[in-house]
Amino acid sequence: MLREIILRTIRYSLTCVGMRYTVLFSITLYVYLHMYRGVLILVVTLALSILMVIASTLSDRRNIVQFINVLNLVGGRRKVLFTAAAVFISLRSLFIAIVYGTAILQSFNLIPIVLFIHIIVVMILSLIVVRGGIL
Amino acid sequence: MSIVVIISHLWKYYTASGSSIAILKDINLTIRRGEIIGIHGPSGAGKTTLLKILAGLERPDSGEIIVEGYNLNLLDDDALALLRTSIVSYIPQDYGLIDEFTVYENVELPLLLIGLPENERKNSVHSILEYMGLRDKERIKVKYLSGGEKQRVSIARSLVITPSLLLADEPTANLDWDNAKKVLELFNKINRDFKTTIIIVSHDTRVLEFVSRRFILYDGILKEVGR
Repeated sequence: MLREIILRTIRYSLTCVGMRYTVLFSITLYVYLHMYRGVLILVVTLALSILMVIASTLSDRRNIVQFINVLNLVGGRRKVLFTAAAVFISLRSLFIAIVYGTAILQSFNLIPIVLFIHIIVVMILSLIVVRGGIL
Repeated sequence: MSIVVIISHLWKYYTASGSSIAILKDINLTIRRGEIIGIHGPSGAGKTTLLKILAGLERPDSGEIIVEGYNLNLLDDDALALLRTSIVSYIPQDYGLIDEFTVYENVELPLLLIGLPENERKNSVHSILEYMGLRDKERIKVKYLSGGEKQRVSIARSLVITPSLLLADEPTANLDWDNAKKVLELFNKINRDFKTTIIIVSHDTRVLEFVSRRFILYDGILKEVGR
């Protein structure tokens, strides 16, 4: 049951406009990380990538709120609602994470911290969405 | 006839700019199985709030609501969600559909949450789409449908779990009168065929011609106005 909901959430998230912004940002980030190296670059791009995830979620806020509301309406439990919100938002972080993942090969050893921060951001945003406080 | 809904001394308040306003005032209502209830009232009278409380989407501030023997005050959020997959279905004014999904996928959604196997889901969705005359549109995305068709999809989704209580919030608000009449006749057909108890709230008085008991909700007070 949850697997089907997750798959539909992924499909729905991919059709939303905020995803396109995230993909464009990821391409830019990839070029940037491979041209410039250093802790400062990493910190700045981390801040920008977090802003990107927030902006992307905000641009799709009507879609995610509608999706969660519909699931709630037809009897989705809190666990289902939270999972759907987390999947919807984390897909945006995933593209960025892949880019950072490729940067590990460029000997950026702070990358795991960057990815951990992204996971925290996704969890916080998901909680905000499910509690109806969006955004 | 057995009792489906008992509402006693229901109060609901909203807080607006620091002060508390009673949106529902001491509502008392008993509904028997198979009735079609029409609640008429102006915008802001509390009609939607009343339906949402019955659907377990909002909680009352005081009073008791019993639906099919379940005291909603005693149920947690997950238990109320379970109630919406088995006993109560709520049709919101904006249809509550996902535009990017097809008709089939929208109607299938409650069955996914129940965890029904795929072939059983398929049979249930197909039979309800057949009943609603939507079988030929099952692969069409909801965003390409007309208002009347969206309303029928929303009704189909609510019926797929065969609820005993159907709550319709302004089902005719976005439709012209011809389409509105068809939807109201459909509710009567559902009531006859499935013995479903139906509560329709509307600001349109013409809706009251299609119900068995009529109420007016004005300034938070509910009054019966005839059968």
